[in-house]
Amino acid sequence: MIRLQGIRKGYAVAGGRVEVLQGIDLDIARGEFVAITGPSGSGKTTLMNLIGLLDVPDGGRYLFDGRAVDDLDEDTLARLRNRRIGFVFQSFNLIPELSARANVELPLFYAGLPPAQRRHRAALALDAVGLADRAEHRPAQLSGGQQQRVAVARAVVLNPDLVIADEPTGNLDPAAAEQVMALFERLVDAGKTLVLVTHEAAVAERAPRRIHLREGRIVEDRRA
Amino acid sequence: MLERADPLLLRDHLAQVAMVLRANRLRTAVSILGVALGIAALLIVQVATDAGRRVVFAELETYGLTTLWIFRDWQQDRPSVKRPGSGIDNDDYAAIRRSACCPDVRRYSAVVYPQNWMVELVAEGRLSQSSVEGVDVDYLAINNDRIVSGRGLRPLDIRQRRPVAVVGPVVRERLFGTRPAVGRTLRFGQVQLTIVGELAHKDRSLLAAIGATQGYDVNNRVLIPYTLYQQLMGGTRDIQTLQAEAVSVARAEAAGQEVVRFLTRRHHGRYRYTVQSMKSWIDTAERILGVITSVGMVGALVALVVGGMGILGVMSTAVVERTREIGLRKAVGARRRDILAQFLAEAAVIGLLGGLAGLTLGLVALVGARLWTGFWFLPGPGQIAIAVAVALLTALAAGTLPARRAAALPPAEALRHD
Repeated sequence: MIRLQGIRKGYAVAGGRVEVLQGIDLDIARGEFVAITGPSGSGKTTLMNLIGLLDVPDGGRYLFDGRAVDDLDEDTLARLRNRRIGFVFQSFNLIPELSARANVELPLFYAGLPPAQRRHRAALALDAVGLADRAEHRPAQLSGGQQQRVAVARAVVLNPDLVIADEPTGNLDPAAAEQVMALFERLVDAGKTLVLVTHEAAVAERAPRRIHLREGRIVEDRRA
Repeated sequence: MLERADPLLLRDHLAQVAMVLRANRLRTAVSILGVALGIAALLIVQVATDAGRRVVFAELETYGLTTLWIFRDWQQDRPSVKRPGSGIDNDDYAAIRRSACCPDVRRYSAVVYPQNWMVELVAEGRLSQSSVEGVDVDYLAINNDRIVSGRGLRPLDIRQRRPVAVVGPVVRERLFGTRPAVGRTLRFGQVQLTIVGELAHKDRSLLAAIGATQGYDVNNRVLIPYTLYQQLMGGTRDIQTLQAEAVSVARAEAAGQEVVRFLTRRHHGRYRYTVQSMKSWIDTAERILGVITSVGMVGALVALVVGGMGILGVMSTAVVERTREIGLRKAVGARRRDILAQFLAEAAVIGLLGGLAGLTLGLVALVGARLWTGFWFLPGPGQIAIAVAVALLTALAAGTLPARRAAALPPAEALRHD
């Protein structure tokens, strides 16, 4: 599903350049559940952005589902993200002006689905995360856990192959975190590939495969 | 799997835009107000200058825009060669009307009047101080005079020096009140004149207000055959002024020159002539209206620029504040043009709302102007369309820069923003 070969990525900062990723080789098979851990600044989020096609590497090769994505144009990348990848963020990233349903409809909107279909599929996705009765609530009217479940519904509403979660439980209390993790495990059971970035050991423990990053390199790749 | 459905339905897009604008009410309202003021100013300037032009030209029309006045230029005479006479007599008049000298002239009328402009008229024991002018048949056509009852002067009246008169509404009112004047008589010196027609009222109130009519009341006129007047003046053959009508405003100056050349040649240069036309009046009116329009347009432009800057500011702030949202939208599949369309749609909605608010504001102001001045200014459909289009274009122009900036944000970077 994902093949990274010698991936490098750096950023210009005041007074020089920081090499965040310094040669990453990584294969992730379809249906795998991988946790990426590492201290702050180790490059977890940068790696996640590259895998999620939100950013392009400076060097190396990235094959997404067997297809080289290094030289794809912006629109094609947007289309790939739309159809093949779902994102869940630490801070939920729901649009505050939109209802839970409208937030879940966003990917469907950009996929060009007609309104009736969007409504229907968003309702199904919200039902699957147990929030069918909160569809018309604004994010501010929902708890953190509920907001993150809306975000999960949004991530999977177009039935992507890959779900990428960046510290999805970072802002949640233990009970809410548990609910969200249970949702993720259901996704994996349904055959989706899940890449989960976390610094919480307890969360990482639940993944069969754990990759540890330090200073831009993979220092550990362990399968349970 | 990668194929993409058709572009999003505008309705859905606008529904989303409406939600976002509603969530940012204050900022939206300020932008709308800015555009509205600009559009209102634009509308008022357009309508007011249009109405002003109509009013001014309606009054200039009471002279006839193509009318020429040709008369002896006394000031250019050298004092040593004092010659008597008006420089134009009945022979000249007959000759020029027969001649092919002046292709740019459509018709002529002699105008004969005394040194003292105002004379005393009496009828049925009532008195009127009025001006009496001796004219020819075509005088009415040249001067855009209309007859409201009775008839104008006829060739036979001129030829036979008949004692007939056509009177203005002020004369009629002073001598007969509300009763009809046609058929009655009035006394002018020793002559009893039979009134055969009554002139329509002419409005020169604006020109009178700026002193351009020099106290001459066009409605206080009595027209008689010029031949009769010459006889009353002791059998003179002098014509004080030759009126001519040029074929067009553009040819008026040439027409005047043709007449002057003809008269000068006929008298072997013994007299100098001067030509007055409406050109200087038309030019002055155009210049004043032009200045008013420019000043108003500059004002409207300033207001629109302010409105545009408002939109630019609001949208720039919105782009910064919503950087993460833009990142998120891109993460879930929005392309560059989707983001561009979203922000331009927001700008367009602000522009349209501003345009409509501006139209309302402008109409209220114009209704207020009606109550104040009594002039009825109303915008035409073209002017309304221009105002709305300008509002929309202003908003789109102002929204383009922030929208492009938003569309160009790299998703990973936008998502990091806090």
